[in-house]
Amino acid sequence: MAGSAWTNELVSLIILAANEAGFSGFFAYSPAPGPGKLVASFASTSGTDPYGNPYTGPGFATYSTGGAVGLFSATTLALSAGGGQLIPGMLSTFAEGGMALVSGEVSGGDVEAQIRVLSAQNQGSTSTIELLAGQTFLNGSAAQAVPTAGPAITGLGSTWNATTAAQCNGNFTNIVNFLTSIGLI
Amino acid sequence: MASYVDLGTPGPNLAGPDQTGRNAGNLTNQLSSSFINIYINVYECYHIIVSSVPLGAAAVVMRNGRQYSYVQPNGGSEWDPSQPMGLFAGDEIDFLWNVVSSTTPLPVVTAFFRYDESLAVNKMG
Repeated sequence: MAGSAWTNELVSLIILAANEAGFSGFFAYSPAPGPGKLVASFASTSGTDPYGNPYTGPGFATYSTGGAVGLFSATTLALSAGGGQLIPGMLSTFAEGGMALVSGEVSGGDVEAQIRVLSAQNQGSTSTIELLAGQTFLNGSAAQAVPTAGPAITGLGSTWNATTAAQCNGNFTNIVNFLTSIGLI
Repeated sequence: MASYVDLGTPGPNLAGPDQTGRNAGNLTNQLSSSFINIYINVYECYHIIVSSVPLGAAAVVMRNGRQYSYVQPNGGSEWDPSQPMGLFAGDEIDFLWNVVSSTTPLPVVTAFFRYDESLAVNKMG
C-alpha cells in the first residue's frame, strides 16, 4: 500500500491522475528502462519519455522492434507496422452504428483504402457496406474485379413475377445478359 | 541520545493453526513473549521479514492484542519502518493471516529487536 513501511505488497486499487501534458502515466520497459526498451504505455497524450522513446496516447499502446505500434483507445484500434509509417491502419467507430477499417498511409501522397459498415439506423434506411478503394478484388485462381455498380437490370417486364412462360424466359434472358455484361459469366 | 544495542532475532517463526483465539481456523504467526525471549524492560522491534506467504494472503499485525499494522505481501515482504515498534518485557506480536490453517506454504516471520541502553529503565540496578 502507498506509504506503507511494508515492501512488495499486493494492491487492490491503483488510481492514476495522468497529466494532460508531460511524461505521465504507466510505462513498461523490458528488460529495463532505456532507449528502445519501451514495450507498453498508458498515457493521456502522446509524447517522448526521458529515454527518447516516443509514446502514443490517449489510450493503451504497445511497442515492438522496428517501430511497430498498437494503440487501443475508446474509439480506435490503431496499428502501425513500423518503419516510419505515416498514418497507422485503424479499426474505429466514427459514429453510432458506424465502423471503419482503414489501411493507413505509408507516406505522404499515399491513398487509403477503407471498408465502412453502417447500420440501418445510422443510414436512416438500410444497413450499408461501403468499399472505398481504387480497385477491389475477390481472391480466386486469378484475381477478378468485383464489379462496381453496373447497369440496372431492365427489361424484366412490368413485374418481376412472371405469370407466363414467356415472361419467365424473358426475365431469365435479361439476367444472363446482365451477368455477361459485368463479366461474371 | 539513544544508544542502541542490537538483540538480533530469536529466529524464524513458522505459522500454524491459531492459538491466540483471535484468528480461529486460520494461520497465525504467534511471536509470544517466550518466543521473543527478551526481558529487557523497554525494547523495540525495528525490522521484520515475512516470507513463504501464500498468494493473496493478508495479515493483521497485532501487538498485545491490538491491531498495529496490515500487510498483504506478494510472496514476501520486508518491514522497514521509520518508527520502530516499541515493546515492553512480556509483550507479544501476532500475524493473523486470512487463510485457513491447512493452507500452504506456511508464512514465516523473522523479527529483529534492539534496546536503548541509555534509558534509565533499562539500566541494570
